[in-house]
Amino acid sequence: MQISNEFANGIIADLIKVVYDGFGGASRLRCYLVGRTLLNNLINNFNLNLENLEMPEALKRVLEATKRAGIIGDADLSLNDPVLELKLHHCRFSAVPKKLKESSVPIFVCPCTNICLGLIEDKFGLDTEIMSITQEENKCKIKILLFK
Amino acid sequence: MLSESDIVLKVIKERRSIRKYKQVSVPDELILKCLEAARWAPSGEDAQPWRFIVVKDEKTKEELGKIAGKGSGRRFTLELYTGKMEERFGEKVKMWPEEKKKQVFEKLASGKVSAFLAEAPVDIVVCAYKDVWDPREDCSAAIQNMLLMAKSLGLGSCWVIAPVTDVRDELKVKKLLGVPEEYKLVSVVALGYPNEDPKPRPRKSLEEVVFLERFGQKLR
Repeated sequence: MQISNEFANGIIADLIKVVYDGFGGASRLRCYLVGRTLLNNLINNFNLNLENLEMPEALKRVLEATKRAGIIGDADLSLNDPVLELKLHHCRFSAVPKKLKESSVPIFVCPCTNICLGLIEDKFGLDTEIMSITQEENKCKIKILLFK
Repeated sequence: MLSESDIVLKVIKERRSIRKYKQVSVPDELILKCLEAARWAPSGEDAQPWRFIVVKDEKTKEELGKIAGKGSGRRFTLELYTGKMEERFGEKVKMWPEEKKKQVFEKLASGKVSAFLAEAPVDIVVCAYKDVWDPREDCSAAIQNMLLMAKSLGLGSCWVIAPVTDVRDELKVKKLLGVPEEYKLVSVVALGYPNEDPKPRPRKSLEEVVFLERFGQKLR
């Protein structure tokens, strides 16, 4: 039996609400590792060679792999130092923020973003903070502050 | 002569968060007295999930200070970028001269407000066994006991969450101190003889924070 996206996203939204009820404003800080283990899966499953790549190029390859893995439909990224902006289209989790909004829970976690943060921190040695996650229709816009 | 309740309230009211310490070591018996007060805190189902790591080693304190400073520096810098730093100070920030605003904001963004863990004579790292009902609540009660005992002994203290509130930093501190997976880090308490005498921070009135019978119903 396959679990539908709707069912899975409903459970994820409920769990995120539990985190928010418990950790309040610190929830974002407690969830930075959610989804991060997927980075290694993507690198291994899609034989991603990230050696000798600059950060934006490496990120593009990882985002391309998330597309091939069926997690997102498409992605754009732009770097306006020190702010990195990601636009994720048709993400498999896009129903989650919508459900959270109904419960007045702010959007503080994005697994795809965490995959990117893992790459930035582990491979490029930069610290990161999520500035904002906003959602419009089927697109999420994520701003990330980079620390050198 | 002060009554017992007056003494308790006096200690509570006169406690401050101390971030500057005299470079004088704290006798072990005083540290142990603070820890004795901590272990007498209430805990859900008497679980006593707290474990305390007393850190005096200079190198370890330096690492703790680095992790704390970087963590709070990141978060305050983020507030600067997103305009939330102004919100934090509310209306009063509008009255500040530009120079003061710059100084305060830069100090926060630098992480210095937490990096002082490196200079405190003692850092007590509070860990909680996770598999109990209320690990954070239990340890918070223990920490408050510790702070009050420190005050009554003439010591200064500061409850610092900066090196553990972000899960990424918590992992670094756990690795640094060899904390097993089944424990989480709750906070670090800095201890030492105070080298500053900060004024009390304004408190919300009882009317603002206490309701009678139902939320929002005024006490008087």
